[in-house]
Amino acid sequence: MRELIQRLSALDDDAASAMMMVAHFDALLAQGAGITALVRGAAVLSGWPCGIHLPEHSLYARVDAQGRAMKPLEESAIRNWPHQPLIEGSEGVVWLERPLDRAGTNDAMILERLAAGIHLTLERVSPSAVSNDAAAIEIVVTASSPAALRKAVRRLHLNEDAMVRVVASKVDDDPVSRGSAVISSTSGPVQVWLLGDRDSPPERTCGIGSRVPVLEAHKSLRQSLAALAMTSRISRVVDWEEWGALAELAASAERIRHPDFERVTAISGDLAAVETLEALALSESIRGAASLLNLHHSTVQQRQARLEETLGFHITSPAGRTRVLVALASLRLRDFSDGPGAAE
Amino acid sequence: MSARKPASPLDPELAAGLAVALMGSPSPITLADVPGKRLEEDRMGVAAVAAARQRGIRIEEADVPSVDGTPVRLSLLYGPDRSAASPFIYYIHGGGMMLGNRWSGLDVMEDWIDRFNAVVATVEYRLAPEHPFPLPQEDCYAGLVWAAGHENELGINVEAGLMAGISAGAGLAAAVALMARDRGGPKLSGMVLLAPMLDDRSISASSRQFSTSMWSAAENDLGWRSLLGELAGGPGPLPPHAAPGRCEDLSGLPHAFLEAGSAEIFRDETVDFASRIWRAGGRAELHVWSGAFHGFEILSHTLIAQSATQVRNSWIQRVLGVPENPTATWST
Repeated sequence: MRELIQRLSALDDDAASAMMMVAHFDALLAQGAGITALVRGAAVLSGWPCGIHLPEHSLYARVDAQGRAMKPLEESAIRNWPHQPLIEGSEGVVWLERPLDRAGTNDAMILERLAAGIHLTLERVSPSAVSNDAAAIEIVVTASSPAALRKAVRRLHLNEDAMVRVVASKVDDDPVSRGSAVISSTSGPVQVWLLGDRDSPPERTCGIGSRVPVLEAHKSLRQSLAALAMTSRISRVVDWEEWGALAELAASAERIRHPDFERVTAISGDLAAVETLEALALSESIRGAASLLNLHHSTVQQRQARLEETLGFHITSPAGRTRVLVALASLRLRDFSDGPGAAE
Repeated sequence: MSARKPASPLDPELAAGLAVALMGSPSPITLADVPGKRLEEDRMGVAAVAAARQRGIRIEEADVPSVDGTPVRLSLLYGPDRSAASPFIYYIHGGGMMLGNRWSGLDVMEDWIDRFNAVVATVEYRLAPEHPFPLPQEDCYAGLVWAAGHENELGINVEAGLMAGISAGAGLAAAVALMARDRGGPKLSGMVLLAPMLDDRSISASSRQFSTSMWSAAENDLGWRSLLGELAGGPGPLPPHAAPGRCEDLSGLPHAFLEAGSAEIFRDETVDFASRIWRAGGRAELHVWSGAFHGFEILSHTLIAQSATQVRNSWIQRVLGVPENPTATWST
């Protein structure tokens, strides 16, 4: 691994190396590689010894930068190094033994990934270790065997003919809370809830799948992940059902060649332009858009003129607004690899 | 969408590392890639040797005449604490018969020097397709014969030593062992065959099962064709040591250590080779690592690669009868 590490450390402090490290953790998780493999991954990627201590599970691992097991340390020594608790309020801790006088821009990210990965793995291998509800939710949303599904539904005190909606959000917004599960997806770890008819969605950026029988919750999960991909700073909550047929249209945009998609894609790197576009499409008036964007309305007017030149149509007509929303949604769904229209 | 992927044949930790290992490598390797890869390997070899020298490794060079009179370079490596009791290891590098140089695998050689105070010889055999069979085999054999013929001068004991190789190098090591047996050549105490490339026929199930990762069926075919030309994969008969897996008589060989991954194309021919050694009354040890692909040791930080190294070193200790250096850099 020495040559590989050299290649990795040649990428040190690069955005590319950070992305590669995240991808490596995701791969370890997706492969179900286990807790010590995650610790080895952290150590090898950071180039420093890493460790975990989970006293409530009698789990301890400390490995050097070559992935070899090391002797345990006194707990107090850990405070001198970058470290973080596994979950808020738990006694579990992960740490990275970088000397204080050495900088490491990716260390915080590595620790965070390690903690998140261990948490996910604990949920996967020992559902009762974390929260039985979380394990049951994971089983319900991930298309398990009928027997496991029925057991999990009972565990959640739901009827088999109950109707639910799946809600998905990013994990790193808030610490893990009860009544939800953290699962791994093609877009990384996500936190999911099952909403009954009387439940309201959590107060955070999230995607909401359509209302389905609980035994088919995996369909709603797929949609919630797509809806999550469609969220933005302005549209924090995206409800798949509210989009109706437009959602399917946006999801299948890859197969349609139209200047709308090409032109919106062309400006997709300009965050201000994209946000302006979205605000104009969602608002009744320029003032409304300006208020959403926190800008003066004349600024918004100027941007609108430039955008309409680029796109080649009126944004604020009823049809124009719809075209913009569909094009923006298709842009965001393009990077979402597991589309809701895909057959099971 | 399920969070659970279909069961992969690969060890999870190896699978996650494989993406990193394959970064920037053309896959699969074709003949057109060979010159560029050789240049890269030469560069890496120069750097690796310089670094090894800095760490205190001593290197002696010799030119050995091969069967056609061409000089073949042999390098002898040892540590500063080398003694008369230092075990001899004759190492043959891998690279699918077309690639690699005598410095490929320098880290493994250094580990033996560190761990067993070994004296390691590594041979720069000529590569296919420019130099097809029998030249690579004869070059490797010539190196061993020369070492055995200059024991006093070199301060080594070949008969008490081992041969070792990886991939194509392991295939060549097996070939050299057969040649030594059949020609009354040097005896050795053992041979370490790691992921050995033994059989051009590629008739086993595993030879067709694993089309991706580090050494695919297509690349293997290319390697054998470069070595054997039109004879490759044919009905034969082939000269006895061209493809050791074809050899009917595996009696009279040194004690063998064989290692393969369950997810590599050489799995079945390795298992078959060990089985036939046992049937012929010989001695062999076989380890097949679950979920390992060809060349998995490169991900040396993984638990499975660490275990494979430890297990191999255990066998070497048992065969050589020398203990491991307790302060070796990566001792267990």
